[in-house]
Amino acid sequence: MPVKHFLILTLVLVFVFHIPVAQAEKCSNPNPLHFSFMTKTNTIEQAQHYRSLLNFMEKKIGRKIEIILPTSYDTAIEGLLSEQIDFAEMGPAAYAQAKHRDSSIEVFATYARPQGTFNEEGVNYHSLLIVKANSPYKDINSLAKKKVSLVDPASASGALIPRVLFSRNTGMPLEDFFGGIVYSGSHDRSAQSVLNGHTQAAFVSSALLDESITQGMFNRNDFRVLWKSAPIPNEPTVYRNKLCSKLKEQIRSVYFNSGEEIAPLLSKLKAERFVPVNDKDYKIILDMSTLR
Amino acid sequence: MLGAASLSLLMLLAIWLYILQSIENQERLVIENTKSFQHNLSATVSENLNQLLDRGKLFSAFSSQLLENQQNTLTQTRITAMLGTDQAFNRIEIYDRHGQKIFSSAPSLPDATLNNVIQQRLAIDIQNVKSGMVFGPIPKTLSDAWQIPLLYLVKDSREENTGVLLLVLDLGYLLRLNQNLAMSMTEIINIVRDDGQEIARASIAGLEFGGSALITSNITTANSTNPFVHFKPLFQDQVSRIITYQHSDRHPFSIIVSQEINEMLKSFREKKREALLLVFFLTMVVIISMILIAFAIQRKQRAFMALVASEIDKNELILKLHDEKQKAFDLAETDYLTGLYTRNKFTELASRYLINAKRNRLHYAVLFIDLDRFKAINDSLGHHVGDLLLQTVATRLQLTLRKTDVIARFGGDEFVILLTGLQNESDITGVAKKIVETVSQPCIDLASHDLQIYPSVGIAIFPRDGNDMIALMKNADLAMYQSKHSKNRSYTFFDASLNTENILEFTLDQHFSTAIKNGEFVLHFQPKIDLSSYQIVGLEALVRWQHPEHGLIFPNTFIPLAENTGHIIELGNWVIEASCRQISAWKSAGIPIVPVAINVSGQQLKSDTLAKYLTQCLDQYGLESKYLQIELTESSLVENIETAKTILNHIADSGIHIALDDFGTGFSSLGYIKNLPIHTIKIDRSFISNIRNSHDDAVIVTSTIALAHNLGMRVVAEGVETSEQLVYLRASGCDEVQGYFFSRPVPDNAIRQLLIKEKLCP
Repeated sequence: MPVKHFLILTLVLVFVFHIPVAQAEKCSNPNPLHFSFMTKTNTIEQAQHYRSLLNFMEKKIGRKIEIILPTSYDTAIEGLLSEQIDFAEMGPAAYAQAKHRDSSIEVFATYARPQGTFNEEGVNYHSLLIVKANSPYKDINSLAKKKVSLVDPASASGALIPRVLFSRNTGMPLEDFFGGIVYSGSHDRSAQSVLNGHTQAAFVSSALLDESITQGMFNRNDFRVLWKSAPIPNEPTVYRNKLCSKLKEQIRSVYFNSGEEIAPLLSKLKAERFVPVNDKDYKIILDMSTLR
Repeated sequence: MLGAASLSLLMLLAIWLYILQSIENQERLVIENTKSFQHNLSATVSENLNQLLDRGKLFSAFSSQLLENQQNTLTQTRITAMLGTDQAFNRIEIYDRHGQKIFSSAPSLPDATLNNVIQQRLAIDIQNVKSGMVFGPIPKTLSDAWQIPLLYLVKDSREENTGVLLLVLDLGYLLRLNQNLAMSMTEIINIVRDDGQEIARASIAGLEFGGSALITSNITTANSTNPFVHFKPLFQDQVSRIITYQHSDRHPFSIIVSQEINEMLKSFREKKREALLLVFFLTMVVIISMILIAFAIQRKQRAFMALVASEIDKNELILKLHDEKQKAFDLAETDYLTGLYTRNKFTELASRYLINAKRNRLHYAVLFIDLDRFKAINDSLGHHVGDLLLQTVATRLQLTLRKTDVIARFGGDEFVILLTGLQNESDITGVAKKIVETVSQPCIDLASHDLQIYPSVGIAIFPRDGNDMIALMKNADLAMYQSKHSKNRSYTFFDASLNTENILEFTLDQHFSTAIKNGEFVLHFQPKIDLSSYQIVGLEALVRWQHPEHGLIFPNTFIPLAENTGHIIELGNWVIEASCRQISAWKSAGIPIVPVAINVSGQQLKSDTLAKYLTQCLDQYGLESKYLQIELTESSLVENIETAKTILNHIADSGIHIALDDFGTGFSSLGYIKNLPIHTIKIDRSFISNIRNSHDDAVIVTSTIALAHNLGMRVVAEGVETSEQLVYLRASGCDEVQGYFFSRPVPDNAIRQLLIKEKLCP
């Protein structure tokens, strides 16, 4: 099994790894830099997309940047908090969760998306409750005691937002309203579950659903939306506060002042451009009292 | 029918047995496949988790270093680095023996439950736990659902407990690891802690939460040798499942793979239902067809029986009708057409006669008469003519027979007669002949047709052919049929010994007189050759009957008849007259003439008129007597030798030579005939034909010739057909020969040519 081989390889690497030397207390200036991202579909593929940006950044700031492959949203959270990851693209909820545990990270960028089938143009997206288009479910109440797919406990649109905002509609926790909750691990797997009839409904990101449709995984007519959340800012790219200012400046510069160099990534992200943001933009997420 | 039905039923039974058997096998196969699949799946997941938990031990080793020296930053960094590259574990915390947290990979919120458990673990010697690890408290909230805390006991170099390592396992890792496993809709993988607490539940859709609670009581029977539990509920939903249970031998958890029975057997059950429906349908078709066929056969049978019954009825009616008709006919005493008696009346009268017949010695006979070709006449000329013919025949019968005879028509052309009170049995033949003769007379102008019809008569004589009418009529009928089928008999006695005469004889006899008048008789001549000169020295005149219907008839057929009926005198006279006339004709024609011998019958030798007639004829044609000779047979001399001798002397006196014909076949000897005026003897052909083969015959011929010469007689050999015979005869001194070797008997025009030649060389 290739996965097993991979595990063994990882174990071996643990011992031969070059162990970074501790930095001065003042600011962190790690070399190489570690980057991670939120899992969406295929993490290996995703890593290749980010590679174009990172290669460019490596040249700009003159040090190697390594990618920590995520297994869940927790990878980035724990990685950032344990200072194993220096900057990362996260889910909004994951960011909120990490921020809640330790405020040593801050958001600096997100991206704006164009108009899609389910998604609006701009820096926001929505959590959608979708059902199969030809299913008998026409409103929220018809889904009572049915099985629903969530994405990952730390996914904003795929878990956090529904848990907080959707529960306000029904007046009860998701576990009580639905007959069963299944974490699928990714947005497209959730949507696939609904199509296959494994679950009757799913909470997914409007942006990622669009992306799957663009990739041809689904048809735009496959789903019906029964509920749509308030706007959620797109995935935040964050770094550790402790990183030296100059490094942070260099990173930001690559994100906002690059042209052709990051176009491939933007294209893969189905994004138009990176937009500078701060915590105020993520107030809706950060404010959610029941994050834990 | 019954056999076909039982065969069909047997076949159906066999099909059912086969289908049920194969369904059972199929079901077993499905279950076995599922079991095997579940076993593999649980082994895979179990092994994945085992390896993961084993990895935790690595962290545990570093932890002891950190516990010994809490300020060892190098160790801290190493641990965090390990964590950073490990995808399965998110967080690591180390607690000292007092439960105090001395290291955390990332800031975390205080967790009272977790701390409690850590305290408990430290208190208990978890060395008892095989792997040295236990699962921490399972997260209760959805947001922490994927974070499974693992507690490892950390030991120092003296193998004493120094603290607790907390590793947080990211279930997402396991999910991703196993996301491509082929699972079915209702398949569920449970990871269960040894105390029965469910750690995770995975389905094809992902990791499940908040479903029906797990009930472990049903799987307690499962063990490593038989990890399967069938058809039991695993969850509170009470849905029956097929379950495979796999307990880890390294860590305190078990893997339970299960699937709903309904789903597992769904496609099998669909196929089963289809198969059963098909077989059921087939069965119904066969049964219904059998019933229909049975009905059809029954209906046919019934129709057939009805047909047979109606056929029987019909035949009975026809028979009845026939009987009625017959009865009506029988009731009548006389036949409406001919006025003759009917069958009934005839039987009645005849039976009465027979009663009398038994008391007297007179003769009685029943004659059955059937008209040949009557049916053909009736069919071709019409019933009217047929009826007239029947009436004519009836009239003729009545005229021919006596009043005392009983005449009847039994229908059709069947006439039956009882001849009564005859004095002699031989009279019956006369009557029969007379009947045939009368009926055979031409019928002139029957509705402007001239017809002649011949009867077939069968005769049964009382009492020799039957004692009662039934037997007599039956036998007469049989005899009649024999007549009908014989070529030349018009009447037949049932008693075969009486059947001596035939129709040809009869007809010839009938026509003798007219035939002579009409010139139907002709003479053929055969030359006699002198053996010394091969000259024709005489002719034998042979009579032939050129019958207008029967063609040329030879004397051996009609001469005995003529002798019996007395026509022989008439015929003999004609021959004499015709011969003289012929000789005269040749003479007038200037043809060299030789003596002509004519055959004389014994009857002609009974009266003296022969000699007179001979001379009368010779005179009439002005011929010398030497030109006429007579030939007579030995048998003709037997009856009255003295009379014959007188007559022969008269003839001889008139100069006519006499030859004895067929010499050797009779009882006479040369001694016996030496007193008769015989000039020539003719040796019978039977001796000549055997001359070369039979020594006896040759001797007889030679000695006869010698004796005859001694008596002054000439010898003629008859029937010479080969040159060898000729050579022998000549050597023996025979005077003349006659036979096919030189010439067969030929008519006038042919014999003239021979006479002109005078000589016939061999």
